[in-house]
Amino acid sequence: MARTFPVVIVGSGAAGGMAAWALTQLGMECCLLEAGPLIDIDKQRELRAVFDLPFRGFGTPERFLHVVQASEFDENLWAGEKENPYSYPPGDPYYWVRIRMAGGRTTRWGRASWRLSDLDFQAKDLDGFGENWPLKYDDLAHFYDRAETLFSVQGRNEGIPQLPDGKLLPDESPDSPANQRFIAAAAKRDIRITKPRRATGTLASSLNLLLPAAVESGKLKLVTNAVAREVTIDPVSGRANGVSFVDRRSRREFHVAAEAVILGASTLESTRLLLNSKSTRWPEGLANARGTLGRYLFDQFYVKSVVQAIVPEARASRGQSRVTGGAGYICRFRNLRRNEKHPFLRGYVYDFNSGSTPNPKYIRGVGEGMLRELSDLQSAGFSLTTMGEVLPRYENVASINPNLRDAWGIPSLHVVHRYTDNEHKMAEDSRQVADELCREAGFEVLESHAQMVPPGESIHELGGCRMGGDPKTSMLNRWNQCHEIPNLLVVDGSCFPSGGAQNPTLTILALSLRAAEHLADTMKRGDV
Amino acid sequence: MKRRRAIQALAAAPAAAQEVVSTGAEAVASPALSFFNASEMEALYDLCKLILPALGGRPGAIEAGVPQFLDFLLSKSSKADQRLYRAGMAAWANTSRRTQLLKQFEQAWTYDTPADSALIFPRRLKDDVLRATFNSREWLSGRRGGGTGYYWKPFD
Repeated sequence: MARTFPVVIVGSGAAGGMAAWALTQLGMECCLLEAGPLIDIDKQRELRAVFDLPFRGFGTPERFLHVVQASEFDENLWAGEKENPYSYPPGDPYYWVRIRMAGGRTTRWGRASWRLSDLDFQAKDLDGFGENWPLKYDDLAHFYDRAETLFSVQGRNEGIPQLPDGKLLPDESPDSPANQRFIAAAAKRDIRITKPRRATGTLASSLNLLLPAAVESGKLKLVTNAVAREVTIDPVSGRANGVSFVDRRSRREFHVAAEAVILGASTLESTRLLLNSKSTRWPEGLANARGTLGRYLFDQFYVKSVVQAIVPEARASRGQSRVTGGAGYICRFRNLRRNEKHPFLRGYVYDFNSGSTPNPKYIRGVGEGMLRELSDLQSAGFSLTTMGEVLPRYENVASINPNLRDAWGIPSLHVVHRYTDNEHKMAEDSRQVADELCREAGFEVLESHAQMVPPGESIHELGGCRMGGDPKTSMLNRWNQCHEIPNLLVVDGSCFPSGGAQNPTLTILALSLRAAEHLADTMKRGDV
Repeated sequence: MKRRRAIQALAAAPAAAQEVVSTGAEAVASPALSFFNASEMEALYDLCKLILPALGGRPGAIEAGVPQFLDFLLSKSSKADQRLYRAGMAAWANTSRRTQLLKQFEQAWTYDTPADSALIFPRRLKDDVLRATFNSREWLSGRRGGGTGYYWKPFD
């Protein structure tokens, strides 16, 4: 029976799942549209030997051209590009990585859970580039606390200004001797290192931590296999009044009516949905009064294995006796203060780990000698990965490709995202520093490089529907409401005006929680 | 009815028990060549023996059926991958070029791509041969752990 919900939410990952959790815990009824199915993970997967897979773990050739994360074990999990196509300019590939199932990409995320600080929220104050966020760290701190508690984030509070302390499960694990040497080398340069911060638990996802409580509240109607087509507006009031969608399997068209609409479908899907919601009033996409929708797209660049090194005393399997082991996180150390002299703006961080065995590609030669060396290096590896801030630029934009539609007839995106000198220089700086740190720690460097992965591959795509104080240069206000349509909210990564170098999921969770509770409050007061 | 019950019981048995009486096709049958020609296949055998020979009771690439597997994999691969292998095998067949390829195996691995595209081939072949061997039934047989993962079935 058709009815009008107080709120309809699109997307069930970190953003949409958190909005559903927050609103239902406050007693508000919601309808949640999820493009994929609801999966019983235990029934959906089974243990298999790699040699029983058709391609011995190489993956089905050409099935995924842009999802390097897909393995032959899990390739059925990722959204395929035949049903979900998109385009990019020739020579500038964009890697759009998607999962369409209840829980979204939180079913496969790396769980790294970092806070941004005012160094990030107010970055323009330091270097004059871009726009500040319309909120400060103190506005979000309480919501970070709650998101960390919900996701049982483990880590260390170390009083590092650029990486605020949190409500963390303590990580008391000792550092291995190799890591201690590396940490000491970094300390000589005033570079701060901490333990990784990760969500813990069997399956720290929206599917496991947010949606069950929302469903249990009796306030949530979860509609799976609902591929959103358009946000609809009331022609008289101009307010959002629901979402039209296509049933994934039957291809039937539906419309769900609501008093407020929350988009949490992911950075690019929410942007696409707004761009596709055209009308006489909004010919360039819904609430897109000044052409900012889709623009200022960015992500965080990765240089995977920026340095691959060997811990010499861990050779001949001594690594297994705890010479190596464990992981760490190198906090941003560039441009923390005004007037630092570097050839780039902003900064980068590293993940590192020790105790792995280097990829055989790093071992010279073939045959017996190579195998002997590989055996000698078991557990002796030390490697770092750079994650760098990418500047949001007007030219990096997602728009509708008029000649491309998905399997449900919905127009698809054309994504233009190029890295610039700022990112290239930052990547090179990160290579040089990591190489020097490894050598200063007494490690043997096998290889260092500064090749960034293509835009999108980090799965940290952000921007496109950014928040801001000025409606002329932003889409959303400080409560994630569209400036032009206050009962339409966007709570996923598209709202970021800038993103720092920290993995964004915890910030998305905190923002969604904050926005949803504010919406509930204002709706109860009749202010929306 | 006895035969039917026996098959049903076999299908329901754990994987290890099934292997006692059933096996993968590769273990007992020769696959038809679908990408390499006979002389390329012969060269691929030589290269596999060079990269990962059987040593100390461990199977090598030949014992792991890597040449046949790569023939199958390449037949399904992208045109770019097929061109890379074709060019590499042609270079290997040329005696003077072969020396250059052999030198590539001794070079330190780097992210820089050689200007001569045929010189990419040794890196790629080494990667593929090692991976195909390390992921083979023959290599993993008898080893504890490793080589297994959660396979996600297709969605409805």
